Amino acid sequence: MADWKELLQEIKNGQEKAQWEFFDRTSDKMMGVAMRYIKERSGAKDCLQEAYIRIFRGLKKFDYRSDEQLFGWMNKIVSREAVRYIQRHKRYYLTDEDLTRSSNGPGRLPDKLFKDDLLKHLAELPESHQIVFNLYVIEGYSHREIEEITGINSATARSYLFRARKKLQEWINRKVNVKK
Amino acid sequence: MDNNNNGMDSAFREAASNYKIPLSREEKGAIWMAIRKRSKRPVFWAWMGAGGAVLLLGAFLLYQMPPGSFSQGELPEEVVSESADVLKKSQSEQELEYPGDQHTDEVVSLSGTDDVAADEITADDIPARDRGASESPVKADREEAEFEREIESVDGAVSTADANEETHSAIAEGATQESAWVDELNLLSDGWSEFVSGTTVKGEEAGTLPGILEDDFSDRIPHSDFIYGKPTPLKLSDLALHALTEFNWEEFSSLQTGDESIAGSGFIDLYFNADIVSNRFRATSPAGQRLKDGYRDYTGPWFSFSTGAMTNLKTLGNFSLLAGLEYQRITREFDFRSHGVEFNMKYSPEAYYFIDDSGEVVWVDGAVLTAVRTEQRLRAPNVHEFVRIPVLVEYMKEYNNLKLGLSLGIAVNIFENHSGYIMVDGDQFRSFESGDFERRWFSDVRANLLAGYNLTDQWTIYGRAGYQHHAGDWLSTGQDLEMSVTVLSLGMGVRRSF
Repeated sequence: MADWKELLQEIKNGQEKAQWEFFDRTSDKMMGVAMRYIKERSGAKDCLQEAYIRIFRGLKKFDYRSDEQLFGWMNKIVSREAVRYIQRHKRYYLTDEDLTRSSNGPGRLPDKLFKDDLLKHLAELPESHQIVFNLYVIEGYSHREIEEITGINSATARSYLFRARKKLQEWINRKVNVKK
Repeated sequence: MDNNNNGMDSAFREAASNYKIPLSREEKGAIWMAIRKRSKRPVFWAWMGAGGAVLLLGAFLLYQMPPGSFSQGELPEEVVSESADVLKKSQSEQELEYPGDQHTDEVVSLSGTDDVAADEITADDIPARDRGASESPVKADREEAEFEREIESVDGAVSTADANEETHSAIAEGATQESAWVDELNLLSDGWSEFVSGTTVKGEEAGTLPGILEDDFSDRIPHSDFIYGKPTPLKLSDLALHALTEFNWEEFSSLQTGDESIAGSGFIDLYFNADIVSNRFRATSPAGQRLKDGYRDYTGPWFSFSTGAMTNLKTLGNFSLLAGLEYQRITREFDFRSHGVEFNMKYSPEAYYFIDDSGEVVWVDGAVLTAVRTEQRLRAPNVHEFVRIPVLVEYMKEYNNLKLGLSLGIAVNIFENHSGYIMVDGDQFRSFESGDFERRWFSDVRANLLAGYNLTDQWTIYGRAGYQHHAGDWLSTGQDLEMSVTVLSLGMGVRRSF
């Protein structure tokens, strides 16, 4: 199995087989990114398709330095595409009503998809909170970038982030207390 | 504050970094095929857009051309049409206002500051191009002959109208139109020279100022500004232009092309064909023969078509030389199978799959084709796209409002794109792309039968049946199996004549 640098070079040379190998090796991980935002599997696959078209275009100019850099870049593309997908389908609302409304609960998703309870509980948050939390904490976007991507203004995003953290912290505290 | 959460953020980041949602082979195959399909689309539409723009531009330019303009040489259309009116007028005015017997009596006041006394004018003062004809030996002879005729004539001058009559009679006597036209120009110039010289003689004879030489012709050529930018005396070039525009181009054109020209000066065709495609395989070894035997092909629900626009470059009688631009899309469904073993193969718009012995769906795409053996069967749509320049010779005969025609020609490839699958030796399928195809400038030879009906003088609708024999071997598999196609097409078109 070729290492990433070698594989990327083959992709730049236009080898379709290398493209397939790249897709095959990375798609599960990127599907995980997509499904942190989009709960429906079919929607996440649609998002993945769009994201990979952008990824393959971008790879031609991509200068590989490390695995973390590569996957960080890909995560950002997939997460941006996921937000676009949600926006197109008007899946989240920017009103305060949304703050009290839970998104698709984990009951609708097979538990085996979530290898970590942390992410399982993240999925229980209101969708707009999840998006801001994902973009800020996991993808590493700034509030200004989040505003550009989602249209949620910085102040609101900070509010969503605060509430998301608060709820998750409560859950962690409960978990810790139960264990004690 | 945002980043200080007792390690909670880093815990989530770590959880997310290891988070994967496994995709099945089926899902990956479907996504991958969709990505491939989408990635190629921009190139396709770029070419289609460019081709469409060329077609529209060509149609627009043809639409703008008035009848007869195809033969009018290099003169700008505006100059020709406008100067034609101007010079027609100026000629009739000359004929009316300058009868030879009035020259000595008429003294026209000079306009502006260009006053020149007659005795100051010598032959050298006449621009060389205005005298050019009389300076060549042949022209000099003709001038002399004309001068003798002039002496014999009552008025002693030869008008340009006379010259024209001479020219037309020469045509009537069987001289070629081109030489007659050249003669017409020469005679016009000679006539002008003699007109000038004749009045000079008369002016000298009368002992008066030769008014004709003092006259500024610009007031009789109201639009001479248009031609020269400022009022100038009438020049030989005016007359040449005059002759050019007076010339009966339609007659000239019909003599060139024959009176039976159906299409007029030009036409443009737009057509659309449904194509029926069949393969031609040629095996060059036993291994190739085995592949050939295992090959099955059927059209299924797929649809091939070609569409384009053509215009005539030249029409001679019932024959026309045509060229244009054509797009053809050949879509086939190939069915390869091994000897007697049937698998339940299915196709979806996103990918290809079959059900293996255990009942599991196995998706087939470019990367996993090697897993599919000839014991199994693969059906896949192959797509071939071409943008071509067809060049045809057409014979068209008209019977009242009906037209019947035949065209023969070739096509030149300017773009082609291929994608699909083929079985190669080693009992494997593999995908092929444009790189597997040998690009040729020469695409095919073709013949078409045309049957049309004149809706109006300008519009004809017609049906067409065609045959294309594609040249050489399309696909270079390196497997002793060469592939090409023939195409039967049925379609319709419209022709706009100009």
